[in-house]
Amino acid sequence: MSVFRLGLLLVRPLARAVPWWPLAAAAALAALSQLPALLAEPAPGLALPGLRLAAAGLGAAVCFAMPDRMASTVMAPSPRWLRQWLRVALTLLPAAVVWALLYRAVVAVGGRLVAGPAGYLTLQAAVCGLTPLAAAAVAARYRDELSAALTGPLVAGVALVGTLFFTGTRSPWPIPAQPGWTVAQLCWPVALAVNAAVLLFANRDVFRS
Amino acid sequence: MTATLVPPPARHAGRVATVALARAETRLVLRSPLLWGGAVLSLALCTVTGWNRMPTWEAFARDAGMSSLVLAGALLLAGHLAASRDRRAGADSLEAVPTTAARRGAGLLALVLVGGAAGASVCLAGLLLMLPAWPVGRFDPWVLLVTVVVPATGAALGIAVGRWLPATAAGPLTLVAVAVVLAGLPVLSTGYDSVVWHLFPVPQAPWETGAARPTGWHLVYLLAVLAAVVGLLWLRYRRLIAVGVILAAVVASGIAIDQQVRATPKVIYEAMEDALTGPAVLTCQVHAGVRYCALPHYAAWIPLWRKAVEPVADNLPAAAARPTVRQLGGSDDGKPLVAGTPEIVTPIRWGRHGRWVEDSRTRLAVAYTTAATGLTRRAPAADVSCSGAGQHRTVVALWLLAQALPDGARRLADGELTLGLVRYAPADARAATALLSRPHDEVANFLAAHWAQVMDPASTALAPLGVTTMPPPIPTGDAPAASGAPGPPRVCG
Repeated sequence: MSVFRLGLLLVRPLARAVPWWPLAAAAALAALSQLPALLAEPAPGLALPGLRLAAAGLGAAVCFAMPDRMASTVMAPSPRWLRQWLRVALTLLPAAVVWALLYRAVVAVGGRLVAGPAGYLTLQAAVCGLTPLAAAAVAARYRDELSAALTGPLVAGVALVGTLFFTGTRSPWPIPAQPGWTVAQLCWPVALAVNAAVLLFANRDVFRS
Repeated sequence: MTATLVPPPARHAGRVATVALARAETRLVLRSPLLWGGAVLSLALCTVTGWNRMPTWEAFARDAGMSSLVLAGALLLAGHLAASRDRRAGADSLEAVPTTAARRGAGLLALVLVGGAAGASVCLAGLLLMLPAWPVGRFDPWVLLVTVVVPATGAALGIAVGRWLPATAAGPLTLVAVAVVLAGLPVLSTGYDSVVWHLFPVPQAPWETGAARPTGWHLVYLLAVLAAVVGLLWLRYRRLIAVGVILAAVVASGIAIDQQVRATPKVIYEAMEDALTGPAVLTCQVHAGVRYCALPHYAAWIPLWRKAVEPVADNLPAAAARPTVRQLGGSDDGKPLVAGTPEIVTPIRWGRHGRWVEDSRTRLAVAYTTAATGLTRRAPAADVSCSGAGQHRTVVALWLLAQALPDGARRLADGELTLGLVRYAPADARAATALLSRPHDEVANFLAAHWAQVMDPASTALAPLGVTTMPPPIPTGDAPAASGAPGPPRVCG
């Protein structure tokens, strides 16, 4: 059986296996986090904290799709990498759609002034969302329990607090005002690449002797 | 001798179980990496935030309070994990659980005490890590207690959510929800006197240095929130009592917020500013002929200012007027303490460690030098740059500053010495370098004998010492150049 066909067959059982309520709750929180930007007087960058927080919250919710609690109980007919990537795709795609809709809504209501350039913000949001996911994927590789997913939000929280130690031009958060990016701002694409690489590594098959 | 056997006091079995559970929970949380990780992160954040400035109680309370939010977040997760342990272990359905769910919930409240103690420890450690520096300014014990109540509330919220929503994902999502609320409050606030402003758990800076804040009421508000969260936990077991506690907490927090809003002035009058930072309340001391006037509770910084000023003042002739060093709060009316007496101002910020303290010293030394030589004066629009090029007192200012700063001579030679708002020409720097190469006493004696002429902006008083720069025509008025107008800057008059 081809991988594609196997994947199609797996979509429905995996959609039932994945916990959806965390994603629904995170989507509601993501929408709530845009209220300040929508209610307050428009100001440059007003929506940025809310949009980043929304991405981090959605990423944290996606983490809970990663642990496969049946993985070590029976021999599975499908490879682990396929199941894990399907779990990622099933939850990450709706999460990305929710974030994109919120971004469009904020821009539509407050203008691009409040959200800044789309490219850089999307990069930040992708890192905010993928950091917990990558950490949870690594944890899920070693533990089947749902609590393994907690590693994702924990790592993301520590990383977020870690950025607070850097202020001024060393802070990675300010949107670059001119073409030249600071060293801190250049860390975003690097972080995205690292997250993607970790996710690739973590979703591989597990070979246990 | 008669021995009497006294039976031990009878203790209720349930209470014993609760205490035992509380002890067990305490032991568990004290081994939790969440508690220790959160405490270390919180302490590090507090220390790093205040690393580059001398501490004040207002800034320290703000830094420690904001850092305690990190500890509260970690304790929220720890509390949620502890409260949802029964569900994770499948113990809810067992008959062999040692005591009731209500007593197990009560035992979990030990985490609230641990959270408060952890917050207090982090705050104390933050203070000790600042040694030998110690905060100055108005000490407000209530605002420091925020660092105790906030982590305790984080733990209580984690327990309450863990009891109601024991699913693993509920903990992190509650953390995200709290972050959403906390991030939204400052944005939705419209100012000091808005209700939303006072809902944020960490009190923000007062409207003026040393201004009294209703921090006692803020603590009441935070304690009411804590009581309401604990009430939420009990809502599951003792509904009537819990509803009563929550209602009382809501009313108390409403009263506390209202009192805070009432106590915050909506309009700030000059008299209110003067009562806090005006001439009448300053603490003035005279050291080596220089008068230093600090804001109330800031006198401990006078030795810091002396280290910057005295190297300049020591080289001034006896006849020279010593400018007063005055500390300013958040506003400046431009009026000197004594009309006609030169004066410089210093803010409520002073550097600490390495280049930050050097930067503060350099700024004050530059300000003192230019004021002592008459190049700058205290006025409402004194922050406009001017040109001192060609004036001999500019050369004297450079000579004084080059000796006062640690590597002033090298910086003068390299063209890196700045006189702040006073600009000078390379010829002035060369003349000052030539003066530095002369014997110090020769120059000092000459200045002492001709100080009045040196202070005349149009004079060439230093010509006998080989200074050949020529002053430009000096304007008679004090009017600065029009803002944004092209052309050369105003000549320092």
